[in-house]
Amino acid sequence: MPTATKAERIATFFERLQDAPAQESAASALELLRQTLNAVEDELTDIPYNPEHWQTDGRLYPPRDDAARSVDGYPQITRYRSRAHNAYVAANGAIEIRDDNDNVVLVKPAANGEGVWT
Amino acid sequence: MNAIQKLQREVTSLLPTALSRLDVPRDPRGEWWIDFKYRDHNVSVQWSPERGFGVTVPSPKDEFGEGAHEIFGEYVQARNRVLKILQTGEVTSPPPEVALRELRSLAGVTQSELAQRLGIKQAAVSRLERRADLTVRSLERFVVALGGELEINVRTPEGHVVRLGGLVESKPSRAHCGHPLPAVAGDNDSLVPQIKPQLDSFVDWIHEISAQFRSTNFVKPQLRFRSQCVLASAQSSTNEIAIDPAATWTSVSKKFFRSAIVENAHARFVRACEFLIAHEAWHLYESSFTDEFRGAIGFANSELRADAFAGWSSAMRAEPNGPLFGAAMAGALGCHELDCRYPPPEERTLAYVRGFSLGESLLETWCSKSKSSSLQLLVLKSRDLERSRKFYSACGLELRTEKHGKGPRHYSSEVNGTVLELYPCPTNDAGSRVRLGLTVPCVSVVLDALAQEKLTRSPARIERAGCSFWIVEDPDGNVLELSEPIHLGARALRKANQCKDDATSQRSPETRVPGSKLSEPNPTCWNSAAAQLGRCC
Repeated sequence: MPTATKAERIATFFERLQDAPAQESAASALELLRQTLNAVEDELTDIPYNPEHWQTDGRLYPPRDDAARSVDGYPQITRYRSRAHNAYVAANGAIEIRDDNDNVVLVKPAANGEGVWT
Repeated sequence: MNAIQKLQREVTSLLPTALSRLDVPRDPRGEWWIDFKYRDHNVSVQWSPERGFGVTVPSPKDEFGEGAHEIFGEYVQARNRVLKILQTGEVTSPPPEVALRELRSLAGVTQSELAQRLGIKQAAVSRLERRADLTVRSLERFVVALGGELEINVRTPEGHVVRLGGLVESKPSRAHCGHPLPAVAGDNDSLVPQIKPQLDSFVDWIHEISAQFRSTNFVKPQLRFRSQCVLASAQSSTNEIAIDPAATWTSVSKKFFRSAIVENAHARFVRACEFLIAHEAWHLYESSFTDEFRGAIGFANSELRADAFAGWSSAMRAEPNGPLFGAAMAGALGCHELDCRYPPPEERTLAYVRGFSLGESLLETWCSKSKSSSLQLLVLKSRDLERSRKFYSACGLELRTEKHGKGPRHYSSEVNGTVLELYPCPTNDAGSRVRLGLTVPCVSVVLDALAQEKLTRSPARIERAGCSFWIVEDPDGNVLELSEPIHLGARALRKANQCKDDATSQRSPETRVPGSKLSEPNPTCWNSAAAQLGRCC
């Protein structure tokens, strides 16, 4: 039975996301984010995937569509709010994740080398 | 304004210095968030029209995309919870199963490893982690097996933190085993219609007889079969004893009950159900029993007390075969597994036998009392109650003030087992000023005799405190309340008559309890029960 802690799983998630191929669009970037986190959770926990859970079941879930927010002044960027983090996904495929204190914890440029804000 | 906007307005209105940040989704039907900060206390609230509120005190280091710690369907509950968190600094916690799993993960221990350390199966650890009502003892074992130490702290409304100690006893604990509920089984559903009236009657009886040992009233529970299938377990709730299909079995209880069905389906099944009903009735009634009765039943464990009560009720029904069946049944429902809330078989058997012994002792007392009539009550109606009180006090009686329901205040004293009561008598009351309470061995015999001699008019029957009384008048117009010592049911009445005819009581050796010492159950009973248990299981 896997015994990875949440902190270890989140670290693994960020590592794999960073190492994954750069993306060319917002849709593929969001899909990468979802597939990577789900794969980590499937491998490192025995908690079944049930995104309909409103209360925590201990599993980490990727952003849902209904968590999307507009970013003032940046129509090409979508922010996905989750507990304690915000994931910014740009139309060019770049990803940036910040914690609740606005500290950047992950920057993944798009395939064209640009970041979320450029 | 939606619910979360209302929450923001109300919280900041009640806590004006609180900071709040509303995070609006692109789609208004999506997930809204609001983050509050008040003093050093933070709380995040998520809300969606479909799901309601989720409340979490964040700890950003190891969170990403998790669900909320606590969920609330009602606005008021969510608002109150948020206010409490902000004011007291309380933290939210995930459900117990999530917390325990995370605790184990933090320790780097798998379920199998933990099972080995606890001496239980891996499946038991899995069940333990899913339990919502974990005992302190089980939690402590869980924590200690992970190499930790359990501390329980209480935060008072004023913010003081108090550490609770001594909650866990030093004796070794037992692990949760998923022990099945007490259960009886049959092969088909044909028995239910047959036995239901009998069992309803048993519920009536146990309610009536136990009323005499309860200090508070209790609504009679309803017996309910949740399935027509006679594969049943017993459970009690606030006013109901339910017979339910059993999902799991221990091999011992399965074998035992199967044998009960095969050998003598109807009678043994009824007795098994009676055991379960009496056992569950204890759980229902326990808090309403008098301290004296609870003390007589004894035992620190509520399951054992319930078993003892089942034994007591069986004896009070003058069970013709003694405690054998019930003791064997109690034993079959025991469990040796670690941490099972059900006690081991030998303890349950012993509890049942002790309860039976207690019942026998009481029955003997009642039987001896029922041999002759006795004056239980003498009520005198006084036109000057205070003067009468002084009079009888001067005669040496200790009178205490009483009032029953809407009845008048009166005085009461007990003289050699007879209760003397002084009641006020209205000046316009031309009726009798005396009322007698007479206990007779058999009311119907007395009433027949009175009717034959044409000594009284038709009696009126009244119910009071779970007992029946027959009201008659003597030739001078004095009122008599006739009652029997106790309603024991048909079998016990036969036994009472037997006691009358034969004071030495010809009972079989294994059902006799010499001296009827409650603390020392008859070893013959114990051995016979153990022997029967061996035969059955």
